[in-house]
Amino acid sequence: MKIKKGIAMPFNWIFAIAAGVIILLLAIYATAKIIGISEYQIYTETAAKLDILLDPIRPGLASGKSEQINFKKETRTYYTCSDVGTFGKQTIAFSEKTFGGWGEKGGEINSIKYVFAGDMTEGKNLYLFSMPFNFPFKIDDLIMISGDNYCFYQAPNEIKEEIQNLNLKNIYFTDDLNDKNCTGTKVCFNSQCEISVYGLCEDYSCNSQYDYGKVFKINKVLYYDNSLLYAAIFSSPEIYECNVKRLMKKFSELADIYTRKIDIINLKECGSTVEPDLLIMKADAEALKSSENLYLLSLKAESIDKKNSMTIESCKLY
Amino acid sequence: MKSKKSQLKIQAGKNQRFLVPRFSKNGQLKIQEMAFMLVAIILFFVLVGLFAATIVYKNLKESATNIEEERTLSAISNLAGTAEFVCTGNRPNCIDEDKLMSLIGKKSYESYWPFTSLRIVKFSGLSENETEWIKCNIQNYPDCDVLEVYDKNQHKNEIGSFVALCRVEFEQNPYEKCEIGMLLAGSDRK
Repeated sequence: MKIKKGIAMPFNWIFAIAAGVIILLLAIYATAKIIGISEYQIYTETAAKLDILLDPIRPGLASGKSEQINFKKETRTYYTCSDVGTFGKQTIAFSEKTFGGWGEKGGEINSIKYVFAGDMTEGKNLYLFSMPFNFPFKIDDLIMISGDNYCFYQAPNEIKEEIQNLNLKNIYFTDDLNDKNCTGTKVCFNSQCEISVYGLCEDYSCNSQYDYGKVFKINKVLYYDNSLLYAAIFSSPEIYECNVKRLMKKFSELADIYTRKIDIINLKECGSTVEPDLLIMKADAEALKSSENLYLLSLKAESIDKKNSMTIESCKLY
Repeated sequence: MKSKKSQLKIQAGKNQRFLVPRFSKNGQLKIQEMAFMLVAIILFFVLVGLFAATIVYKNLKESATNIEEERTLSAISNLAGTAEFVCTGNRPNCIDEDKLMSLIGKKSYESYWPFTSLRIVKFSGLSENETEWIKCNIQNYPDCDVLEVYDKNQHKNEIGSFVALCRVEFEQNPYEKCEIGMLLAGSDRK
């Protein structure tokens, strides 16, 4: 009779192996979780630092400022905008390429700035520039962010000069669309391409035909006034429209402050005639539904500006 | 002759081993040892986890405070140039005192800036203790020491920056009077 020999495994061995496997699996799970959490933390911190970096770029008194941010890895920055609340808000989030794939975006950082960009900007470099927005007094600074190259076709001299003074490396000017250096998104002035800009200012008071006008982008029409031209070119239509509404909300708050200032300076023998116009414009700004009505508001802003400039220097409102 | 099966049945009835379960004391001890070991390992990992979580939480708090301070510092250096503060003619580092006075009490701005408090100390207040400062309001303006935009009364680190403070005065004709002031902004201490 043959005796079958089996390998006898003591119970403690089986127990140790089972416990070891469970502990190992738990350790792997915990490590993966910790890596995920620290990645989320780093991305959230980077988004917060990016928001801080946007502060010095605000031009203050200058006509514009530019900056280039270089990352070591391919990065993505995400932007959202909401016009809910007194001022509305924007959020910035960040993620980067890790092990061939894109990491999950970090926490969204709330920002009170006016950032005009696509919903998502990708690349190793971020190109930023800012322009003040006066309507008629200073409302805030507009910050334009892009990661791609832009080719401006037949841009008028005033826009060419303004952008060239900012020394932006991702914007190229050309008068020939077949130019080899004309890469990236094409922006055409008074002609049709990916982004088309049409200047509508033909009044004697216009400094340029492009003082106000409209931008055709992704089958949508965005109306602009002054520096909002760049905002319309570089941002997604949704972010543009939302930020225009936010700017009007800020105008409304500032109009309140200026109205109170009028009362204070009137006590010091400064007679300001701006208040009625300011109140009408405030009501119109609060009712603004889209950038389409921006032109009517800009006419009122012009009228306020004229009245303010006629006041004696020490009694000027802004 | 009885079959093997029936023999086994008879044996089972007689043999006490089949009725009362017997455990080896050595085996019991080993299982106990193993259970204690498992509990010890789990406890060890829990303690290591708690220790790591404490360090991570402390670092997180520290980094949040640093970012908050950086944010305040960065925002305060640009505050004088913002629409709410800037003097007429957009002059550099100059705050319009009359405009600032209009800003006091505007609740909407309390949650607008990343500061827990915001106040501007006038020249008259710079040489006095904080307890002696007279807060500005419409009745005592401009004969006061501090223009308090808001204060959320939280634990805060205050960061200051000197600015020019200009207002309209009247003496025969309206004119602009400027003096030095200090902008104080508080950041949350986590």
